[in-house]
This record gives sequence, structure tokens and C-alpha cells, in this order.
Amino acid sequence: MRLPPGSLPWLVWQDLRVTIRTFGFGKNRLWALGLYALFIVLLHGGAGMVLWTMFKIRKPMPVDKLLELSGVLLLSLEFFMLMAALLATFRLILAGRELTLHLTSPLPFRRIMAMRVLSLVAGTWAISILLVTPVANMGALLGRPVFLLAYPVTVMMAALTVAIALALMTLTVRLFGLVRARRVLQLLQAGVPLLFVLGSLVGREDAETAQAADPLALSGAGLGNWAGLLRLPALALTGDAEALLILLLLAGLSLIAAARFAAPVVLLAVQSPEQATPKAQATGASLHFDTRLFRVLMLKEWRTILRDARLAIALAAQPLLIVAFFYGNLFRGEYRLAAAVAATTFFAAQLSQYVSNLMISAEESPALLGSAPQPRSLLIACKCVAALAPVLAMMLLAAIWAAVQDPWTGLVCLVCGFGAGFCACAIEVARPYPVTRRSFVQVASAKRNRDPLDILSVLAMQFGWAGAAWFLAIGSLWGAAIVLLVVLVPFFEWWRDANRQALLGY
Amino acid sequence: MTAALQLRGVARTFDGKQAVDGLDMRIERGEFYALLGANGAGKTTTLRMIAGLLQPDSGSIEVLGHDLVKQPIAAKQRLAFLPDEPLLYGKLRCTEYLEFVAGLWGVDGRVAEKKGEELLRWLDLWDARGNYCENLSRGMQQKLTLAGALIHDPALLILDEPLTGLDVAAARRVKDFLSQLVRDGLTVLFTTHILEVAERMASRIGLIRSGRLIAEGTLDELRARYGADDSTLEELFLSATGPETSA
Repeated sequence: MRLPPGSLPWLVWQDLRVTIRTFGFGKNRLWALGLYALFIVLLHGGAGMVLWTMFKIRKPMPVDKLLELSGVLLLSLEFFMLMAALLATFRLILAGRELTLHLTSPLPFRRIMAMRVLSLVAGTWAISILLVTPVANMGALLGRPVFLLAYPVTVMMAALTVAIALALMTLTVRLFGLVRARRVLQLLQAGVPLLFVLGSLVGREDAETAQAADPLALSGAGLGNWAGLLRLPALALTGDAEALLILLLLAGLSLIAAARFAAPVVLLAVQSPEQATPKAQATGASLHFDTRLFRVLMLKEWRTILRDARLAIALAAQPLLIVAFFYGNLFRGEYRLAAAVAATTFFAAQLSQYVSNLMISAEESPALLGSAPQPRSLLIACKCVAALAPVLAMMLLAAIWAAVQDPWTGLVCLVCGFGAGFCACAIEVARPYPVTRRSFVQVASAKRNRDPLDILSVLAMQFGWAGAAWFLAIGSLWGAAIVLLVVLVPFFEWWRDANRQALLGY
Repeated sequence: MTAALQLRGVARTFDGKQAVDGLDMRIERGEFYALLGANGAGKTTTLRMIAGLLQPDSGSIEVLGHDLVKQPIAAKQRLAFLPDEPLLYGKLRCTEYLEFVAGLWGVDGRVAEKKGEELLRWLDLWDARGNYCENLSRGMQQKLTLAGALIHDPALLILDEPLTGLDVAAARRVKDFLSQLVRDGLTVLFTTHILEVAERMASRIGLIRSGRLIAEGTLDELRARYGADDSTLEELFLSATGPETSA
């Protein structure tokens, strides 16, 4: 079927095609596709096993309990969706250049805006694919077709989320003007993961008392306290026709209304992009330079990350959400300290990997560093210290906190946190992935040339250190065995190097 | 006296394609040398090898008497490179950028402050010194990159299309600035597609084709070799490199 050029479906397809193509598979296309297929099959297998066990062993869950469980899952998903929607909406007014080509065409603005809003919904919904697809498909295969309702429900949630993001953007621009809206939106985005963490922690003590009375009490999971917020989609998931209809109406109408009010704001931003960029003020009357190499490199690295809203938010959000999930859902019972140490170790590995990748591989001006009279090894060493220093400082604080409660766990936290940080950085040094900052923001582009085996190495290192921390914290020697294995990962990557360092350009 | 730059049999291939093919070139100190050639002739590859960003497959490059492969640090210490795209960090302010570059070249803080202020004022960037680099116009970015290149007082300046994106006034200012620097003893090697600039500014011109230097000399020497006395550089260029090519 050929879509009529210029029509809304055609525009949406063109937009989505560009996005889909950022998910490149590099040179080893077949190998990569095979691995991804295997990953999806494994996910389906895992979901199938969990569901089969639930269906077999458990008695039918009371409706209230089911709603609460669905609510917690949907709420977790909603946070990720909201992050994605805010980020994409944010780009809509700050990177308006993306729409320049469309706006110079004879197409009506309303259609262009509709295209972008539908793309936003698709992009936001895509966040949930890995979580929703295996559960929905396997649930249906195991004789519960109602599980397929996860697809429409999450699509409607994505539409609602985009409507919220658009409304927030419109309100912010109307209240603060285009220039200040940038800062306010940054704060809003940073606030989402913070809200998630707080939501996970508030009311914990009451929840633990409730849990003692009823071991299945989800309120002990922190987020269970707020699951009621998403009662409507949770109800829709159970097949309630009335809830489905209301959700559909709510999502559709709110999206149309939000897009209607956001359109003039987007048009304003696109037509005057310079207004959306804050201008810096002049500094003092004379210059004051301190040109020590490590100082200038450290400042350069952190300034270029923290001043870039998208990088800073990604930096804050990614590990925070992971940690929030661990703390919110596993931080209870006799193993709660072990879970906290494992989560903190995972956080150290994830953060170090992200920052090292940014600083070492996504160097903005490799030609400047390459032409400077400094050995590359020294520059990379300075970058490693710049990347690791804040992570290790945080790990030290976490270790002290753990040691106050249990000295052995504190030691485990220190060793595993530092080990994970060093390992993540060492992998980046051994086998860097040169990317531009621009493509780094679009995570898919940053990973397009990655060998799937490299991704597996990083995941093995992250989960390996977290697992080691868990086992060591509960006193199992399996942890020591895992440590011996994961410290080999950077050497493995170094062995596979294939002169990738030369690709850094400096 | 050693030459500012000496290339001997420099060659470089990319995926089997010969980008630079046994290039020999010598530039004396204080010269203003223009390297001209069509797109894909090997100009940028040559400059990137001289700047130490690419290793030659064979041959040697000496910068002020230092072998670039054996003594890269000493060679780069007195060298500055400006590619056609500004070497900036969007999220750094102009002053932070200059401080960073001075740190990379190991320039003392006080010396860098003085030199930085002088350069910013001379290049009309003083009032914009607190702006983020990404907020500057293309011409201002080019001028800021030039200021960064000069902050460590180099002896050899390598410029790849230095006037790209500059308006008429800014281009004139940069040209005057470079001429003044050459009069003060700086050696400049530059590429350009604007032949009128090479004609007016360069003391010597090299023509490169398929990675080889096919002609070299002053404008008068090239005229004597390729055309009549009143030939423009454009006519000489086309005569030497063939009518199908462009500068």
C-alpha cells in the first residue's frame, strides 16, 4: 500500500522511519539481529516461566491485590514514559530546527504538529515495549487473552503522558517565557526521578508494619502506596470495558487539547530559535586563568556535561531510576541491606560507564586534544580520574552508611563499588566507542556501531559486580568467585581491542 | 637554519585509496604558504598528518627540526592547527575555552590571561567573552578558534580553510591579523578555495593533485611555468590541475 505523499500517515511514517533507522546494527548485521532475537526469546521465556508459575501455584489473586500489583507496575512504567515524553517535548521547543524542512513545505502547520505529536506518542510507547511485549504475548499464549489488553492500555497511557508533557511545556512557556522555560523544564525533568525515589520511600515504616501482618502486602513495596493513582489503567488491564472506554476518551481528548494549546508555543519556538537559547552574561573586567592540566580537563568535562540539559538529565535519571527500583521494591526483609549494597554497586557501575563513555569516547573536539602537546595516555588518565572521582566519593559515603549498620557490609560496599567503577572505566579505556555528543544524546545512535558482544560485556560487568556485592553481603563465597570473573572483563575487552583507540581521534 | 616544516616522501592510504602519495615539501620560517588543490586532492589529509592527528604510512615530517613521529610532544609544542570546523566546546564560555587550550599547551596562567585578553580584544570578541561558544555566530566561532590557536604563541600555524563562514569585515580582519603575524616571524601554512586570498597573501604556493605536489613556487614562478605574465592564479590553477577541477 502506498501512502499519499504529504498526508498525515505518510508524514508519521517518514518520521518514524528516521527514528527506526537510528537503530543500526553495525557491520555484523546478522550476528546482531540473531543476538537481539535471542534476547527477545529469552525475555519471553522468562516472562512465560514467571506467569506459568503464578498461574499454577497461586490461587486466583483477589481483585484489589491484582489492581494494586498492576498499579505498581504501571506506575513504574509511567515514570519511564514521563521521562521520555518530557525529554522529547523539551526537544520540540529547543531543537526546533528539526521541523525547519517541514515548515518550509506547503503543508499546513496543523498537520505537521499532528505528525510530531503522534511520533511523540509512538516514541513514548516504545519505552514500554521490552516490558509489555513478553508479558502480554506469553500471558495470551498461556490461555489468558486478556493480557493482550496491555498493548492498547500502554498506548493510551503513552498518549496521556504526552498530553501531560505538552501541557507542562505550554504552561511553563506561558508562565516564564521561552528563555526561562528552558531552565524550568530542566528542573521538572530532574524532578521526575526524584519524585519516583521519594514515592518509593515515603510511608515505609507503616508499610513494614502492614507487611508483617500480611506478607503479600504490596504497600511494603513503597510504590504500592501510590498505586491507586493509576487505578483506571490498572482496571482497564483487567478487561473492564467501562474503564477501557473512559481511558480511551481521556487519552484522546487530552492529547487533542494539549496539542491544540501547544501548537502556538512550538511555532513560536521554531520561528525564533535564538530566543530559546539563553545568553550568558559578560564576566569580570579582566581574565583569571589557572591552567593546570588536570584542573582544566576536569572542569571542561563536567561543565560540558552538566550544562547540557539532556546529558545532565540522562545522567541523573538513568541510575536513579535503577536504584529507585531496587530500593523501592527490594529494600525489605532480612536481606534489605544486601539489596541496598547490590543496588548501590550497580549504580556505581552504571554511572561510571556512562560518564567514562561520555568523557573518553564522546570527546567533542578530538582534533584539539590530538594536536595538543600532551600524551594521549596522560589525557585519558586525567579523564578517568575526572569520571571516577565523584562516583568513588559517592561510594565512599554509601560504604560508611552501610558500615555503620554492619561493618562487613560496609567493606563489601566499598570494595564492590570501587571495583565496579574501576572496571567500567577500564572497559572504556580498553575498547572505546567513539561517538559524537549529539548522537550520544540519542542513545540508539550512540549504540548503533556497538558489537553486541561489547554490550554483553558491559552488562556482565554491571550485573556481575551487583551480584557479587549481594552474595558477599549475605556472607556467601559465591561473591568472591564472581569478583574473580568480572575483573577479567576489561582484559577481555582489551584483548578484543582491534586498535579501537586510534578511532578516538586524539 | 632548520625549516619550519619539512615533509619527505609522506604517504597515506585510506581503505586502499592513496590520499597522499610520496609528498615532499619544505616551508621556511616566516613563510606564508598556500596549499591549493581540488576537492579530494589530499590537502586536509596532509594538514592532519602535520598536526599529528594522523600517522603517515611512510615518510617523515619534521616540525621546527623535531620529528613528528619520534618527538611528537616537542613538535606539537610550537604548532597550532585550525581545521575547517571550529575546535570548540559548545557549553564552555569563551574565556573558559581559552583557559582550557592554554592548559593543554602548558601555558602559565598569567601569561595566558594577558595573551587571551589581547587576542579577544584584537579579534573583537571581548564583549562576547562570557558567552557560551555555541551561542556565537559561525564567524565569531572561527575567530575564537584562532585566538585559542595563538594563545600559546606558536611558531607554525596550520589553517584549513580559515576564512570559511566569515563575513567581509571579519575576513579582512583575520587576513590583516595573519599578515601581521607573518611579519612578526610566524610561519603559516594554509589551504583555501578562495584563490584571490592565496594570490594576495601567500609568499609561496603549492599545487597538489592526487596526493602529490605538482607545482610549487611564488606566483611569478608559477606564471613563468604555466602561463602568460598576466595570468590569474585561477587560470594557473586550472592550467596545472586540469579544466575539470575546482579549487
